[in-house]
Amino acid sequence: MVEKLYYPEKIYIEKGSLDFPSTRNILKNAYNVPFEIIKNPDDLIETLNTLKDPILEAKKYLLITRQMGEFVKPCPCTTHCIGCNYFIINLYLNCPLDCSYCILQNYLSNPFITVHVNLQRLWDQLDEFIKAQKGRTFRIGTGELSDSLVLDHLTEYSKDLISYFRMKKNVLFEFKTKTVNIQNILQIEPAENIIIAWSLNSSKVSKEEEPMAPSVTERIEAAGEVVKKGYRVAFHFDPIIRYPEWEQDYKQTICFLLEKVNPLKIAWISLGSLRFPPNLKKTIQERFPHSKITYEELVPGIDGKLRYFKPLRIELYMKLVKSIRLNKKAEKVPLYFCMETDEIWREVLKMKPRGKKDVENYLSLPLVFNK
Amino acid sequence: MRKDYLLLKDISLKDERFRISHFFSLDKLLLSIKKVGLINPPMVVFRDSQYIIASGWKRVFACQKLKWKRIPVYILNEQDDKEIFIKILYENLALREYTLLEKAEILLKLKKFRVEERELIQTYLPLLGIPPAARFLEKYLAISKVKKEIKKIIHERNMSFVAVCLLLKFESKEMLFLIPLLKPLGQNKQKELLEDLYELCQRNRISAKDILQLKDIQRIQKDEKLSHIQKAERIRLIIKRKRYPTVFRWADAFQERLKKISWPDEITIKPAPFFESEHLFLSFSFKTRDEFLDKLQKLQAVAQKKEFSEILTHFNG
Repeated sequence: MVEKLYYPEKIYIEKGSLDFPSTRNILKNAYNVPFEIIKNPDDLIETLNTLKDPILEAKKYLLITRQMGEFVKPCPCTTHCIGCNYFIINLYLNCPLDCSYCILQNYLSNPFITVHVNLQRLWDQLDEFIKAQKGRTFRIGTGELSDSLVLDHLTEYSKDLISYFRMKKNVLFEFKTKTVNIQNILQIEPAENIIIAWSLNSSKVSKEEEPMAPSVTERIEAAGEVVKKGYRVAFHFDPIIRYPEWEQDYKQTICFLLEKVNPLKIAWISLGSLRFPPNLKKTIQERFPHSKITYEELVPGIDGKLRYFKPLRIELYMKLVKSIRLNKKAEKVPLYFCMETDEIWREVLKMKPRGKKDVENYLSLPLVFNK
Repeated sequence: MRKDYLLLKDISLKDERFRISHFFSLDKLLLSIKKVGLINPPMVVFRDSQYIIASGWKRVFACQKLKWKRIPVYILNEQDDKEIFIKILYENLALREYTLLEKAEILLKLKKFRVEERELIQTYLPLLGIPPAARFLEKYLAISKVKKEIKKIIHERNMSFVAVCLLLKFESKEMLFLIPLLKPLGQNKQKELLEDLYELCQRNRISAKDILQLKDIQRIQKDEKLSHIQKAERIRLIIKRKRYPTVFRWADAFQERLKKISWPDEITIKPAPFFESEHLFLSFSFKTRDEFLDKLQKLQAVAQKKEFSEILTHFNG
């Protein structure tokens, strides 16, 4: 497995972020990359706009800065859908992988690949946050506003995060990635409550819409390696994308996955079909003219996001669930939907979660009690 | 700059280096000149042994139409064309809003006058009320290069920037096919038609020309009983049905089931938009208690039918 690691063309360090151990560590790991100390990244953002593709251009630069607000936030989910009570840690913003469907293209005002280096603030906030969640087991992760591991060779944050969370028994911590950047993870002892998760797709979608990410085969092989090391893993089929041969192609990914990874080591699998705010459609069409994903039957959902017409979504989910459940060992792997309505839960999984608390219990309790 | 009088025949109309407006009506200006004369003389410069218009094309054309022989002008001494163009641009900016096509032409001219791309984006785009981003400059420059007959429609139908950008996604030949369809439609429907057609072409890997030559569309095109707007509306709907076949199949099936159970015409039943929620929506009007009870009775009658339950289960997942 050969990982093409991300190195920026230049590192910008926000003035007050220079004197942090994490900054020194990043500079050490990116010793060939020039850096500049800046007062304010806003001027750089203005310059970027004069370029043809500012989003792509900004990915060439790493911005080291401090998180001045809350590191930990509830995952926003979407209106009218069943949430899962997930919490996100915003250590990184943006991602160099540049997948065509990525919501971050229109979501963040700062387009740079950004790393927050004031980790002590994170640990303090987490201590307080976890203390406040007494009596419940919840899931938290770093993979919402970036890929959890794509910068790990520079930051080595995975080591710090695992060391911190292994002691927090009521927390399930998840790294969510498309990369095979697992060297740091393989170096440290696994823990029961640390989950390494991969976003998966069909090979065709991965090749065409996620060209900068390692192939699906490589991702699944990386998952096999961390399982061998003793970690539990999770998978996210998200976004599931329709095209003429989708059914066969997704089946192939699922078969390969369940062949290479012991299903008993899978903490959960989530399913989410392609969805995005209407204004992202134009961005995808402009930035990825070869991509056909916006030309399927996408209609405004109850939350205003564009998604496949409901019967088409149900068909997608039904077929994927069937492919997963066909494997006897995978019969009990918890499946859940990301941003779907109670109707879809009922129709496809024959479950009636009353709300996000139910989903939280469904996903986290078996992991706690089956230890 | 000095004021003078020139013979109209001595002013060249061929050199358009400063011209930004190509589509306009002279009616109001003619009326004004007839009434009060030419108060604000056009500006000209002397280039290559002739006078050329720097600003005031409309005024010159109007005087021509009124068969004037001599007109008052301001003759500019400035030698740098770029400087003249920029001065005029700022002058007009204070007087009126530039149209979409004029903005495109201004940017093209500035580019021809070798204004740097960065300056175009950072200075001139905001000046023209356009966001300062390279992708906007690219689009406006593309607009400036479309054929004259297409520009004419853009102007006449006051097409929006979004619709024009969609139109630009088609080849020139296809644009000409599309123009008669767009002409009778309002801004939103133009955008919708172009968007659906483009996405349909992309998904099915066929050209817009091929779609517009389909039998059902051709039949409408040739139907002499239909007005232009009726034709455009019907073709728009056909394209939408082809763009969203499953959605329309469901909508048709829903209507079909209603017909089967003889759903009362005076009571409207509708699924949620795109069948996304499980709710159905009912509406009817009444004036008296009897009318109200009559509607309830009719509803009760359809509710008894087996097919009514089928509607509820089938369309709610």
